Amino acid sequence: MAMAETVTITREEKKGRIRQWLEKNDSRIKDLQYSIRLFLKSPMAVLGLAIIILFLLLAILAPWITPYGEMERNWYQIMKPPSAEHFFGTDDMGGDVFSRIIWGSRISLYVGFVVVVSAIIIGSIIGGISGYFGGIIDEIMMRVTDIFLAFPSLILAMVVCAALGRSTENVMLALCITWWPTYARIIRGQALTVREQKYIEAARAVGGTDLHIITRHLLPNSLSPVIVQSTMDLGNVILTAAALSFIGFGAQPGAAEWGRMVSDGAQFMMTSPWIVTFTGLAILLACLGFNLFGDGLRDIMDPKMRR
Amino acid sequence: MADVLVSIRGLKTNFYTYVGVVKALDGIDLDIYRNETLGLVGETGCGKSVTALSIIRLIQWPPGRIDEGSIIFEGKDLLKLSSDEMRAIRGNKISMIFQEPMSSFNPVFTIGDQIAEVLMLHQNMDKKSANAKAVEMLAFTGIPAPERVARSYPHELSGGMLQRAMISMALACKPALLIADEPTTALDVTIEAQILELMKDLKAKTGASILMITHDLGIIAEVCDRVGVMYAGTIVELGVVNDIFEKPMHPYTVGLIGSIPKLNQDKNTRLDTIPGSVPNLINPPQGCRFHPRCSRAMDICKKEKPRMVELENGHRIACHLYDDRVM
Amino acid sequence: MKLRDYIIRRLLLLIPVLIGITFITFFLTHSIPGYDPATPWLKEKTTPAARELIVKQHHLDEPIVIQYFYYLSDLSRLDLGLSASEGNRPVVDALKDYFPATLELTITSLLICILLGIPIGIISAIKKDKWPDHIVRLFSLTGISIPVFWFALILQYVFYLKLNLLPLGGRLDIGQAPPTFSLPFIDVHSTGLYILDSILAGRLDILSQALLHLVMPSFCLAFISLAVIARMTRSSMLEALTQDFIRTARSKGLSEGVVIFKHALRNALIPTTTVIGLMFGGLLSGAVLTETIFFWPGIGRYSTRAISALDYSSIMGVTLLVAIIYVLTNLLVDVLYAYLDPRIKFG
Repeated sequence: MAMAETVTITREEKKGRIRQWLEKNDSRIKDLQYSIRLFLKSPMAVLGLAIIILFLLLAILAPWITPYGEMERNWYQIMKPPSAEHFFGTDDMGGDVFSRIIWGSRISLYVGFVVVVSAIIIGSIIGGISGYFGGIIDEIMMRVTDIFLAFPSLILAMVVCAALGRSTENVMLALCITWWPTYARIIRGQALTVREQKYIEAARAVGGTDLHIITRHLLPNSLSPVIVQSTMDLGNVILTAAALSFIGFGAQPGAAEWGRMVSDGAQFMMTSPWIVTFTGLAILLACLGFNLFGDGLRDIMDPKMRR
Repeated sequence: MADVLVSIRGLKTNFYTYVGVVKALDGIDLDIYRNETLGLVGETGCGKSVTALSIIRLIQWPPGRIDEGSIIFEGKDLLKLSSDEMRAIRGNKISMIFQEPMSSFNPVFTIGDQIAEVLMLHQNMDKKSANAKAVEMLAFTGIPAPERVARSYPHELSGGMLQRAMISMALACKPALLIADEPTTALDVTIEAQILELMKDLKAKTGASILMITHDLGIIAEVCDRVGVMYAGTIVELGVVNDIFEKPMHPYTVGLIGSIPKLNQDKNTRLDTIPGSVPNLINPPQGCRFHPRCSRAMDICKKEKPRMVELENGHRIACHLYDDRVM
Repeated sequence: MKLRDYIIRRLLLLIPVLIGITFITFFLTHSIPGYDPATPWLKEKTTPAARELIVKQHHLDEPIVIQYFYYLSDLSRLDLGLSASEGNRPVVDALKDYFPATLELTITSLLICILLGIPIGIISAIKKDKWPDHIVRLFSLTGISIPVFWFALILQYVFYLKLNLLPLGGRLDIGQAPPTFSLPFIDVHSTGLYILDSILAGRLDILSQALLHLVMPSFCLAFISLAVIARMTRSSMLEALTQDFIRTARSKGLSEGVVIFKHALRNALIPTTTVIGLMFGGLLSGAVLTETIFFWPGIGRYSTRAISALDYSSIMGVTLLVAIIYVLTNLLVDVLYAYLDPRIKFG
């Protein structure tokens, strides 16, 4: 039996393909370079990015950089103010606040990411179909979206958590449910505008199917408002998740989750304010980073700023 | 010898931008006489609008600034007046109308309110009389049903009506000079004809002078008494309209007039164009700004800026070819 | 279409939305796995026989959809059921008690937002890219990043513990009875809005107490929205100032003050007003956290307790109330928008 001939791609051929791709996307690459240069001009935006990277690093490297373990308790060191051994002091069970904040960043970033990505996916599907096809489908879906938006989001999230049990996972679920309508609205708005453009007519004239149009034209054009919104939402989700844990609907007492840590430490606020103060500062800083970055992104995407 | 209303000397306006300093006006010398319609014509970017805005001192800093020159009006240099003094003149002794009447009115106030506003400001009228006078002014510019129009909002009116309303507003305080910056560019041709007729009519009735900014030579021919041709921030030729059209002298003017297609032309003749393109005003050419595109450029044109020379009948030209001292 | 018709149409649309909300909430609260639906009414000593009675009485053994219809029919008689977390008193009463507190808090916060936020936004726009603008931008971004609950705790720590300037929480000092008034022809003796009540009762001492207690919670609640409004005003002012009609206004010789505060602001306020209106709903939501920390007896705290106890009647009641307010504010905002912007028609 003869061996099947394997076709190998030579190195020269690979280089050729890369060069081709670069040429084809040349204007997009130039655009990107311009955007990056514009972004770097704004100190606040760069600061935001730096903060985000900082938290990402903290979250990823947590096991190696924290001086103490996540659930480590030292009963001889309860409620100690900040010192050299415990940078941010200790809490009511002897845990090191500094380390627990770093451990908490993992949960917060994870929740934020999952919720926003899910919200985008769900929202895009609903909003895209709604805006693109219009008519009755649009009406119905928009009523549904309206209903979800009319819900006080915190209360909806609380109900979901109460019903399904208090845990971080359910917090994520609850927040997904409250967050998708915003994206549905954005995508639908974009769909409505894009639908009227001439190039859609052209695409249809050469035989493009609906799916093709949605993926190749609608989605890429909706990208920029979604990117801006989602960056800022990452910060907001972290805030809301912490709020939910604070009132007791999220992580369990004693868990190293930012909101829960503030709530656990709140009773000792008057005597040992460091627990609440530093943890809250972490939440503030993380959220601020995303907002600064998102704000910077919004500025560079604003056509008026681009020369 | 007609009376001089506005006398501009050596006007230099610059725009300070990220990429460099745009030298928009490079020493404009211009006289506007009483009760005349003076046109300023040129391509986009030649500085005609900047000239207009400089006279009324509406150049916004940043990034623009009038750096040099004098504009003498009623015995005073407008460039040396304080902000308050200048504001007393705007809308009052010197008014301006703009290109897009649709967006030049505030959408949340009625037309009548906006006209009355200028009357209450400069003529110290109370609201009632100002409103009545506003209606009068609307009628004056030939608007039918002026009371209804006065109560209307800008989005409820057509472009032609809005432009008439703008003219009413500009003439409300009986200014001595009306600056019209491309007033008909955004309008249909038929409406354009009406507006131009209106302007001629009003000029006769009020005795005002009009500075007509346009890129359309047809409008110049129709409405103007004298015309100045601008190129790249300088006035290259200035004179009575007939003289400029029949005896253009500056190479740029010649090119401009020559590029107008004529009705009796053989359809196979090519249109004359001026080769090259308008220069970048951040780094304008040395010497005469037109020399790189001029078929008759000489050595001196590359080094020295031509000065404005007066020929017969008030016909002026800024070109070394006609400068006695050079030739 | 005339304004009156438009309003009627919008009010009618309210009904399907409300039905949708009650539907979703009902199903959510009634679909907890393994949970005994009679729990809110059970006490320690309840015998199985008594429990059977309770189940029959509240139709708890019937299919969910039937229960939903019982609920709707009760609703039409304005019977929102009994609140299990409030010792079985009618939900309507509980709402009547708690809502004014939240209303007072929310209105005060909204006032702070508007009275501070808009001027800050205007200044930021006028001084664009100079240092006041940068400070305002940083302040705005920080404002929307602050966790409300943390901010509340910090405020308490600073102003109550350290500076002793403001009270810790509650609406009045401990032991102080709420103000009541008596007016001729009116059979009402208190509205629940202590500011109003104390003025009507002529009790200025209670008024100052109520105001002091209101400072921290309302400021806390307002802080975030303030940042948003400042930004919104800034960007809409900047947008307005680039329009052609501003150039026309200047060419008429109007002073810069008139140009900014009459011509630009009037246009800039249009989008800002809609945001303010929508914010009202968000403030109600944020009240949940603020009320908890400042012991404010409003519906935020009420709903938290109700949700924890899975007291569905109360949950439904609160959700319904908040949703109605949201829809009404939306309507108000749309009407206001049309009033401010003559370009809008109700076609």
